[in-house]
Amino acid sequence: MINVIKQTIAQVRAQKMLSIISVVGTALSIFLIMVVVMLQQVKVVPFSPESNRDRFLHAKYGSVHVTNGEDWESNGFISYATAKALYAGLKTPEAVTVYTPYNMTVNISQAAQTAIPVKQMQTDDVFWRVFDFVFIDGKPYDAATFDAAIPVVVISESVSRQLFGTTEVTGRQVMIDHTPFSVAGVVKDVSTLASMSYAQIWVPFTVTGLDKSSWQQGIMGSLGATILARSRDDFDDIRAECDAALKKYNKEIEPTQWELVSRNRPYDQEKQVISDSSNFEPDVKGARRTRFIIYLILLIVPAINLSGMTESRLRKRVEEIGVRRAFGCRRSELFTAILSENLLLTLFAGAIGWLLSVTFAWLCSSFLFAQPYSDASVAPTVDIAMLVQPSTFLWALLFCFILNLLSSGLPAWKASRISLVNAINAK
Amino acid sequence: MNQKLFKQIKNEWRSNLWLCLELLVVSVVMWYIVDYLYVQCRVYTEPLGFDISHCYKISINEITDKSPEYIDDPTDEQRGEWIIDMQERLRRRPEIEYVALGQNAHPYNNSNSGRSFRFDTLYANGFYPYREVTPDFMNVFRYEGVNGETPEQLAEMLRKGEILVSDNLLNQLDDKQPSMSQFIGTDAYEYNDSTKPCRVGASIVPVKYSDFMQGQMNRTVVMGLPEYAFWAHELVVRVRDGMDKDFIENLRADADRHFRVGNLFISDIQSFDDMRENFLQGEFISIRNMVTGMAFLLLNIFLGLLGTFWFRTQQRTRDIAVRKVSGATSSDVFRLLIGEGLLLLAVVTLPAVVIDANLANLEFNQWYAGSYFSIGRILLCAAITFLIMALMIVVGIAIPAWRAMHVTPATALHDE
Repeated sequence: MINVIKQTIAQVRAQKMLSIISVVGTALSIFLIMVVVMLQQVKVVPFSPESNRDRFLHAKYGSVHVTNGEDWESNGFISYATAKALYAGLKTPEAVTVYTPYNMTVNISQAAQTAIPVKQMQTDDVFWRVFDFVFIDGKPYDAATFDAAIPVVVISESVSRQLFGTTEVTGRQVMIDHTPFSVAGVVKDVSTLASMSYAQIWVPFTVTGLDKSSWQQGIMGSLGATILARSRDDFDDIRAECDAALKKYNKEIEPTQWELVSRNRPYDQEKQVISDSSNFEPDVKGARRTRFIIYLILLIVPAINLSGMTESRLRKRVEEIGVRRAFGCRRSELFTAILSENLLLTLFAGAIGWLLSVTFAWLCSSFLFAQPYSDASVAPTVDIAMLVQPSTFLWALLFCFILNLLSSGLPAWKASRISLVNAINAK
Repeated sequence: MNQKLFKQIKNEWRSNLWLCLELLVVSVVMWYIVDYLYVQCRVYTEPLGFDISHCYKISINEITDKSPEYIDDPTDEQRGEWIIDMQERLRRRPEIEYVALGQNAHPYNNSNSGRSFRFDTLYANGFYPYREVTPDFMNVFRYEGVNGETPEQLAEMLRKGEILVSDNLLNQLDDKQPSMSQFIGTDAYEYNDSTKPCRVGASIVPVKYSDFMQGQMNRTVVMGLPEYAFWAHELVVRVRDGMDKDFIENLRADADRHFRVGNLFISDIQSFDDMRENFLQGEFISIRNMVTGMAFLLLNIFLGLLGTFWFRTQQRTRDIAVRKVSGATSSDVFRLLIGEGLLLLAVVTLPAVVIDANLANLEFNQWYAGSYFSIGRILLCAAITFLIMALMIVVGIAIPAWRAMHVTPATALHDE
């Protein structure tokens, strides 16, 4: 091992320019690959309040189709009645929440102050069990409050500070769109990257009457659902249960001449994040394929590049290789020696690339992680813990190995096969 | 000169093979990106068919029954009066020029309505946004007719109960179907319903769904909506030129005092410029990613050529010195090296274009103006790719070539 390190350092010294270019090229490649990995990661890795992302199944939208054979459909949010019939009654999951999986701007004020516009989400009481918000004051509203439609609100830390100058405000009164509410609790601010639960204030939707608002004969409305499974292994059972519930519900709504089509809902987190519209089933395989092609291009191009340079560097060492072979060094030994020398260099460059990518992602999070159709004026915030996941590190290491194998495998193999006589003659 | 070049390339065939392979892969990927950017640029610069400057959306909502100000069980008449009153009050504000109401109608909208229409014997196939709006909507977004009809004239037609159709309504796939202006003054019928004729008032300049949108969603049918349409919750206004400053803040400050009508209140005011920015974010992110990818590839070419030629000039110091001794100038040496790089690119470009054309034939690239495969577009994008890559090659080789130029024969040939 020490030998390998010594060799590598000596090689770097002897070939300064080529080594620098190799390191820069590798670091650049790993840097960009890791940025792409992180772009995907912030959408699927767990972080509060979406720490259970790997156990989520989302039914953000519903779709109905006419039963009279014509080609008419309606896609969008569903009514409370539909949400209850399809999801709230499921037996397998740990919990099911029904809420508005989107924001609406409302105006909140305290005493005689001018109102400030904030993003509001409307939820049921189960919401607080499915999403793990961090309460710094008070507590979530419970089932009794939700059922009785008592006007209470959970506000975020920064809204609380803006309104009251403090976060100990449980029980105080605020006006939201001309209706008095009392503060139930204060939660830590949420990143906009928490795409299903981001808001600045949360209220029970029974208060605003969303539980009764509907159209398309009571089928469609303003709500969606998120299911929290006990484990990912239950996903298939839950989907089967959902399908059965859908069949049963379609029987009930037969007189309306509409039927619900599932589009294979509910979706897990990976599928949900690519579901921009309600009228198509998202193509997870296609998205994975695209990512795979991107990784491939980001690896192949620098690998070819580095191969050429590794070969150049090895050509300078032909004599040395010849001498080593003459003294009984086996081809396999030579091959692994060259490969591990290169690996050391690749790992060094990879570490630089990885560090760069984390720093870059952290510093430039506001524009890097902006999401389509989101409010451009609210920049997404990231936690360093979201970026430095054990899995990212493993990915980086894996990409380094692949890059190394691709870029020095062939030159090393060829170098180890040079005929002895030619090598010593440096031909 | 050329013979020298070929010989040189042949002598270094092995490392040139690596370079060629890299250039080939990069050329194909670059072409894909250039094609993507070219199409996006073309689509983006096409006329929108509407004008959002000085336009704002005013979101109206109803207070809940938990509010002490709530009026119980309003009738539809009451709700209609409230929304008319709200529009009247807005109209009275000096900075507001036009006020209109719409249902899934304004630009940068995430919701659409759809209906099918028949014109004479022709059906407009596929989905297109169906917009129900009050007449002044034409003035707010400045729609125009293909025969030069002004927004005012279009508004007048809606007032008379006529419908407006976009000129491209029959072009589901951007396939040059006849203009809709031939149907002006005739009756159109809703799908499967021949009892309710609607007179076509004008054929309007196509209204794009969004800046980057192509195809069927850029078609539309516009129908009039009465001012009492309380169910249509899209209230849009156009502000007079030069009066945008603090419009949102001022209106927000007055909202509670002057714009509380019945159960209605103003819940949000957004400029269409902001709404546009939010709506187009996804496309701008894709473009940013593509440009980053392109920069990465170019940087790789730069590094690859820099490395390879650095090594080469090092190897060839004596060779260059001999050239110089036999009368070559420094710029000859420079040109020889750059020429080597460019010749390699030229050699690679031919198979690259063949691959590009195949990819286009397999529809891996962008759809534009009705097709994936268009010889003109492929050649143009391949030419742009060639130029950008050539530039990078010159930059990459220039550094080692510059070093080679300054070889002093006496030192280099010292040993000989």
